[in-house]
Order: sequence, then C-alpha cells, then structure tokens
Amino acid sequence: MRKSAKGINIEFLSRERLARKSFNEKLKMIFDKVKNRTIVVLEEALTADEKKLLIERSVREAKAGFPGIEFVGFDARAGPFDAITRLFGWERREGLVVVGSSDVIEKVREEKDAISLLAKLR
Amino acid sequence: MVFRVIKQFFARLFGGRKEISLGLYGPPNTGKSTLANRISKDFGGGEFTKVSEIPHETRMVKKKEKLVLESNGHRINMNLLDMPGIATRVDYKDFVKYGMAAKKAKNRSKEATKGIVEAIKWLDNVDACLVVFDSTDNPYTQVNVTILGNLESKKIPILLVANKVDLKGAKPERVKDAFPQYPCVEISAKQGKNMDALYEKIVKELA
Repeated sequence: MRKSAKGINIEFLSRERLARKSFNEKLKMIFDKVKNRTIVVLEEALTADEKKLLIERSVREAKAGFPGIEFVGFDARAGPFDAITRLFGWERREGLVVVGSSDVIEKVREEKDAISLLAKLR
Repeated sequence: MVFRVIKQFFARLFGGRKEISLGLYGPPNTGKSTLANRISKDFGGGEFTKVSEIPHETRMVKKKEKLVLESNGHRINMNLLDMPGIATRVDYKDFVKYGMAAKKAKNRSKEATKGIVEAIKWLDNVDACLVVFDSTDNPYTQVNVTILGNLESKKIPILLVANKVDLKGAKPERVKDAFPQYPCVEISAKQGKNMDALYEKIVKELA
C-alpha cells in the first residue's frame, strides 16, 4: 500500500494468509508493521495465551518513539462442539483483531460485539 | 498445568487448601494496592504496598504472607500478591504529565515494563485471583479479556471486584454485564465499603 504523507495505513490480512504463518511469524509481522504506523487487521481471533504474548512483546519493545500497542478484537463465540474440537487440538479462529501503535490509535471503545477506534493523523 | 491439577486433586482429597496465593490483577490504577492494603489491615497485617494516583506505582509483585482471612466462621490462610497493573503500553510521557522529570519518568517506564512482564509470568503461579476493575471505566478491554482468559484456561478460581463505587460516574453493573460468567462484588476499597461481602465471597468462591 502506498504511504500517504498525512494518513494512516490500514492493512487487512486474510485468514488464509495468516494460516500459513506460525504465531512467532505473525508477531514479528505485526510489530514490523505497527512500528511503521500501520494499523493491522487480522481476520482471525487470538487465543488467550497468544494475547498474553502480544501484550508481553508490546511492553518489552516499548521505548522512546514506540510506546507499545493498542489492540481490540472479537473472539469466536462458544459453540456446542468446542469441547470436541479442543480434544483434537483444533482451535477456533473465527474473529477479528485490530492492532496499532498506541501513538497512532488514540482512543478505543470496545464492547463484545462492537469496536470503535480513533486513529491520529501525523 | 499437570502439577496444578495434581495439587488441586490432593488439596480436595485432604479437605481443602491449607494456604492459597491470592493474586490481585487488573489494569493500572484500578485500586489493587488500596485493596491489598485494606485486606491486609482488616486481618492484622498492616499496609504493605504504596498507593499513588500516578499509574504504575506498583512495579514489582508485592507480597504479604501468612494472612488469615476469616468470614462467617470460615478461615483461609493466604499469601496476598499485589500485582503490577497490566497494560499494553508504557509511555514515559504519561509520567511527565504528572510533573515527573524526563529521566525519572524513563526509569519508571522501564521498571513498569518489567513489572508487567513479571505480573504476566505470575499468572501461572497463583491459586486464586481477584480481578479488580475501576467501576468508572469501560470493563470490556482486551487486557481484561486476556487476564480472564488466561486464568480460566488454567482453571484458576476468579472473583471480579468492581472497585471505586464511591466515585461519581461509577457503573459497577457494567462489570457484571461484560463478564456475567464470573462472580462479582461491588466495593470501595478506599472507603472500606462492602468489604464484608467481598470476604464472604472470597471464602465461598476461592477457598
């Protein structure tokens, strides 16, 4: 995507594209992009453990010039076959995650079924 | 995880836990340290952790050991753990806004970062948790979802605490609405409001 002088890049990544990456590869990609003032939209949910690692990485990388991230998202709702899918080690990934640098995303408002965010222009 | 399951099995087999590690989790400035001091004082332990309006005052895990909490004729021996507030961002400029010098603010920022990482690591080591919310804030955030999701996946008992109900604009019912699957108590740790109800719930839900 072409970078505009006074704008925000938003990149949408499909579930198919994400499925080809390990979680560590996804983390690297997310941080490479958000540090470059891009807001990343993932067409999948993260597990509780992955969210924990995302937060940990965010504060580990926080320093002058990059204060860390903001992220919002929808998780897959509990389904009747969750116990069976977990038994086979399958993860439900339906959902959405939006990640951006916290000096780009100024304000987020999150509910279980609605997200709004205010991004700051340079 | 396997160790925890075995520990819980034997604890149940021999009539309940003798001592629990109770962690206080939540984002910064929800009143965790005020609550930790209140619990400690109410059961003869005295204040043990510093309180401040500046975020990230607690930058390392503070522990009060061997507290005996009693309610309704039941008692729990516990170690109380006041955790650094978990956040996705730490910006030294936020501390400068409170009048702190840049160098001091940068140091605080580094310490806060370490504190958050330490609090995250402790998620695996507590026996039960109070997840503390500021009732004037929106409770449904990814930080809170992440804390609760990780505790739940490890089958660690959770009690939600809707704190700061004394403040104008407090809406503790939003905490219950956001996470109806967990028990919740509305309190003001600062004013000591509804603490008996909290202690009753700790004994009932977490012991």
